[in-house]
Amino acid sequence: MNQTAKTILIIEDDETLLRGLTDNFRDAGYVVRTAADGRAGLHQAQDDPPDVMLLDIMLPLVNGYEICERVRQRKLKFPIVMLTAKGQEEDIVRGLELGADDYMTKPFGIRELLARVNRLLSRLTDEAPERVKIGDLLFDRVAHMLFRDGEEIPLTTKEYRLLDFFIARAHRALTRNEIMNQVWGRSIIVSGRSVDRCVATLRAKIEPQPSEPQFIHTIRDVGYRFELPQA
Amino acid sequence: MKRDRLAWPILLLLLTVLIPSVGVVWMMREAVRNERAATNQRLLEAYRLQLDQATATLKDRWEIQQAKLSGLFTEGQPAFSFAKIVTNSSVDSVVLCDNWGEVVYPDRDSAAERIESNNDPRWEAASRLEFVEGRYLEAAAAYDDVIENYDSPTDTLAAVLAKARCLDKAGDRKGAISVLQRVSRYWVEGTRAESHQCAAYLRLLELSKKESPVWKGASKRLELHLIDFEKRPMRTYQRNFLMNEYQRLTGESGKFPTHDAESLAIKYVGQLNDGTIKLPGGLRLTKIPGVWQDYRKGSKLASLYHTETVRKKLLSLCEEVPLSEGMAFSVTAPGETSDSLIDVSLGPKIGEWQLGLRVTDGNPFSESSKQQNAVYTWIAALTVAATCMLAWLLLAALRRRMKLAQLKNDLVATVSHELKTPLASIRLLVDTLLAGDEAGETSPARSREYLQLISKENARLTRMIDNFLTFSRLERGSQTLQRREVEFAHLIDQARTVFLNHVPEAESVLHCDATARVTLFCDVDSLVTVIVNLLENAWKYSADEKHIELMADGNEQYVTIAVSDNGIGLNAVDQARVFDRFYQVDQRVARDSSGCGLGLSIVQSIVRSHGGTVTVESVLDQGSTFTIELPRAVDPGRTV
Repeated sequence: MNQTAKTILIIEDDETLLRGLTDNFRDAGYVVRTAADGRAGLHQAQDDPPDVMLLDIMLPLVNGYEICERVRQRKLKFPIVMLTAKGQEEDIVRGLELGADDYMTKPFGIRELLARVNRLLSRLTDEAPERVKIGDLLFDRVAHMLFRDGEEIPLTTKEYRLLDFFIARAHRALTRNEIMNQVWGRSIIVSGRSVDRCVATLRAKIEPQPSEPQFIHTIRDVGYRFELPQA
Repeated sequence: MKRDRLAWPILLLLLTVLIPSVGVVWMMREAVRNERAATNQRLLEAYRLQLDQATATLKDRWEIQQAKLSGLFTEGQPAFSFAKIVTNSSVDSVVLCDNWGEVVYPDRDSAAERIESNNDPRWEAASRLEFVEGRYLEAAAAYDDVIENYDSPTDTLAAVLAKARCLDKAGDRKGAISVLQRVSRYWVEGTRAESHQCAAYLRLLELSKKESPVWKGASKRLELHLIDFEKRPMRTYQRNFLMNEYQRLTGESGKFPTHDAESLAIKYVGQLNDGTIKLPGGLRLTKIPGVWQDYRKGSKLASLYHTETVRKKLLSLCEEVPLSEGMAFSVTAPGETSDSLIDVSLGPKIGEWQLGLRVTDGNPFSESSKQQNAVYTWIAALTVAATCMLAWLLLAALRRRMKLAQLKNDLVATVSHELKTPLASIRLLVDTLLAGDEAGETSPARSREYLQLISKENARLTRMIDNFLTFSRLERGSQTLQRREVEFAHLIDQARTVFLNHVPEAESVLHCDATARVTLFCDVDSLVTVIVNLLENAWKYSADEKHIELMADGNEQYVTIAVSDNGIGLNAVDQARVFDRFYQVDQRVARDSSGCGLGLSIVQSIVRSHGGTVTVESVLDQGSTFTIELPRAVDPGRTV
């Protein structure tokens, strides 16, 4: 963990689950704040923004979607991880499109949750370095060039923009829509399949084994997540 | 997406309503049209029948009229017959002829008849003095000499006229008038004499002062001559001429009823090639525009009519012929455009004139089909209304089903969430314990605490699954009750215990009053579930300072269980719906304490399966009382 303890706000109405999450994150060195209903959680998030937020969706008084939307409307940029029991595609996509960075489906493993939160906090921000190491690859964001062992791997314009986007939003679940809008722009002639095709070609260039990706992970029915290896 | 799913059913529903409605309306329209056409056809046929009958009547009457005309003819007196026919019938004129069609009246002669000169030397001398030498006074004297010596009134009259003419030419008007006045003394016979006498009267009208006694006398005498066809015969042209002159000199018209007829007859005869009437066989158009003749072979007269006279005559012959209300006869000449409803030709004997029927009042076709149209319109309206009603019912049924499906989907989602949450808690606590155990970091206190929490979540999960399974069985109707005799008080006590196990903190606020010492034949577990559900609801919906009462009573026939709270209460709408599946009064409270709206639905199902009832009385913000009434004695072996 960083020297300064990170603050996590957990908004969860189930008492037992809240207890378990609180204990685990506290044990992990986080300063834990909790809220048992949506209204209280929203006030806390807006009045005293945390470093990261764990957000249940089905909350009393104000639901998780609304909290997510209103936090982002306030330009608050801390990472948000959804906790959802529903697990259906449209529910997850909706949360991600409203501004959540990642999601976990109940019941989940606490270790994975802790790892996701840690990665979100340690991810690169918008001021990413000019050169990024991806496994044995070196990505020069300024020169728009990708090297493996000093040899250039040519990238098309779309592949470059896609890889740059992934790096800027590493460890986040990204919907196809979001990828399309950011990489292709709001073009009506582009579909999710275009994203899939571009991801497939990019995988072929950067993954040691494209069939077992290390970096670009598929989230079924939702989109993709780019995992940067820990330094 | 939801809109997309709804779009097709709504479209299909609209088509289900629209297509039959359009079809019915179109069919009714066609039916109305066909009915109208059929009615019109029947009506036309009826009218045609009437018209045919009228035509036959009219033809007969026309023939009778023509026969009557012939009856007015008097042999040997053509002028008199002429006058008699013209003044006693509706003809415009008449031309008399012989059996071969040769015209006898009007008589064919030149229009002006000159006074025949004779061989008398005295007359010749007088004429020479007048016409050659212009010595009028001497001519007048010479004519005077002729007058003295003539025996024939005709010749004498001619001489008188000549003398008067000479005196007038000589400027002696007075003398001329005096001479002409002597004319009236003569009794004349024959057309020539008549002509001379009338000519004299005419001359007097010209010479004498208007309205003077002489003038009036001449006018009267002339008039008498001209209207007396019997005793004062005259050539047609002369008479016509004299009539014209009389009208011109006196300014009086209409004095002579036969004048126009005379003129027409003369005009008609003038266009005959050889003085013989042609084209026998009935009414025919003559060469004179707008004038018709009716001449029959062997007849001694040809009646003449103007077109309008024919029209009036034919219409008058239709009087008293039976006819439908709102209809009238109309008559059309050949070549004219008819605006009648239907027309029938009157045949060649009546010159191919047409007799028709026209509408005078309203529209008989629309009137006749009005009733049937109203029937069809009502049928169409009722059919469309019935279709719309059925569609509305179908839509309502669809909406209920969709709502139910939506509720079920929501239930699945909610139940899924409700089941997963305790599972997530259990997994989290177990993982934490295992991880802590590996690292040796978990204190015994925490371990115990976690295990208790796991146990609690496990119980919660179990209850939730049981509830859901019960609901599922009730929905399918496959819930089997395991009935047995049980002490009522024991049942109440068991329910209380289960509830307090779930909610230990409720012990201080729960007040029980179960004094009845009766037994009950029931499914104990189900009824315990019922009472526990009511108690849990009371706990859930009560405010911070809770007060829950459980009262149980019974008699020979019924037992009553009432659960009261001091919670949020229910309004009238909620009271009506609170037992509905998935219905939750207050989502905030429901979400706070878990639940998916099945509890009261399960309560009602179980109570009903025992033959009992459950009711609610509630006041908003004050609290609610749920009352169950169960029959004590139930037929053994009854299952749901």
